[in-house]
Amino acid sequence: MKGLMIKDLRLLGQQKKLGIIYVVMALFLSLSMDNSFLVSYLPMIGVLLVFSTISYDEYDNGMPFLMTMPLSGKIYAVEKYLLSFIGIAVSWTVALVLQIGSMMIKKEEFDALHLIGTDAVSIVVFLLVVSLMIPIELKFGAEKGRLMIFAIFAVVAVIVMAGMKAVNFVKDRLGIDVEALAEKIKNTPMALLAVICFGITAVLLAISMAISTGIMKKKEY
Amino acid sequence: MIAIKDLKKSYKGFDLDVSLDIAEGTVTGLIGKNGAGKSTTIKAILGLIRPDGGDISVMGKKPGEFSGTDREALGVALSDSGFSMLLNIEDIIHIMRAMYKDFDETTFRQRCTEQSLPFDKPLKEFSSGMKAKLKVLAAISHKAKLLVLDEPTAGLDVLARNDILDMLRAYMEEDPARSILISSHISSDLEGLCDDIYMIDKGRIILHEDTDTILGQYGVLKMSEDEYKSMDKQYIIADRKDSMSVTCLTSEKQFYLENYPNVVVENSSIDEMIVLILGGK
Repeated sequence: MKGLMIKDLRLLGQQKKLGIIYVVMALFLSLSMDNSFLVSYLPMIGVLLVFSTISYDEYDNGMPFLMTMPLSGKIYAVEKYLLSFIGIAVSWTVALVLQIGSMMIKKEEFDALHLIGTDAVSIVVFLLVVSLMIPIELKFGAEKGRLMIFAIFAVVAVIVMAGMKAVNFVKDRLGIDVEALAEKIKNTPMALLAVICFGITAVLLAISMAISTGIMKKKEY
Repeated sequence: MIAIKDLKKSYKGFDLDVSLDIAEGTVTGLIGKNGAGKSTTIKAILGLIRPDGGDISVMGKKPGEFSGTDREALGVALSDSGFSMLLNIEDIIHIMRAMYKDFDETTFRQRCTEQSLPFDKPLKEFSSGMKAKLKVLAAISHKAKLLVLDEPTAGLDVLARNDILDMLRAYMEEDPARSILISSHISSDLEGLCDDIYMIDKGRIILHEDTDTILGQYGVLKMSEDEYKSMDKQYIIADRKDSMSVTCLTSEKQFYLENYPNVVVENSSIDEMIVLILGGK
């Protein structure tokens, strides 16, 4: 695991110039416009950089040799999740610092705790992206995987539309008051909602990890 | 060290069915044309593919059941796969140090310097000879018990090939209990290195012989068609008929030297053996 992590960090180190450009760009944008985009922009870059390590592993048919080293398919998959967590944590923290910095420069008032709470939503979103993307990239390869994601977004869009129709159906036919339910969720304490959200995300991540290790076990090179 | 019995793997238009044994302390060559099944056999030994049938035991375990520690005892160089081309040797040293507890950094650095490999250049800037040398140097850098090398000399000039063969000889001299399985389609490389040779063709082992026997007892006979017709053919393994003459491969050149003084008897090289066995008739 340590060796894999060093390999990936060294590969990512090659992109440090690009990373600095992204951060500087983010800094300028945050000064000139609303800075709330930072917590979605930088973690997105972070996650994409981590996914690029899967492309690097596959590039020049590197996987067969990699899998002859002292590691298993399971360790390979778990390391990608771990790297993603690190990527999200680092990029999110940088985003938060930049956001607070730009607010201080612009002399805007802010409540730090509230800001962290709001920004934490993007952590959940990117953990969900990771739990969806890693199994797809491992199964179909980095390039095909990215094409697959478009297909999945299309399916998700269809599901959302169907879901909205289903809500209307439930509302009309079964007499369940959806608005009241939404209101109830709105009134649930923030902390409880956060625990529920992170709990669901953790379960989805565990399922995703199990799928990824299964994919790696079955893979031939 | 390696025992393979009736290993089967099928792809579209290709069926592999091989058995072979590699003893501790030996260097075994696997030779054959491109697409003969060398790489598939090696991938099965390394656990990179799952066999459709048969048994493989590598260092007493099935490749699919290898733990990380088991894999540390394996040194591998593959012709078509290696470290990312974006890494440099310094990066590789850091990775190897974390991957293999027996990684001998000092010797690895020293050998890389001897071979004039730059430490700070990405591998994409290396020549094919430099890349091939690095693969072998990495494979022998962590005191592996078994080296599995798939075409380590492919596409290299004779000097680079000799350098690699010298590295492998030195590796064997360090510890006689080590073993090497090396595949190549440049069989002359293997003559001075291997204890025994397996020849593979169309997914089947068609010959297994000690290298000394091939070089000492095997021979190439050249004669007219009439001489060939009247000749005792019990030690003839393969023949090739040209317009004017017949060339044969024999496993007992002494027999023909003594009994057929008019027949030209030459020493056999593995390359000639391949040409006659795989390209004969």
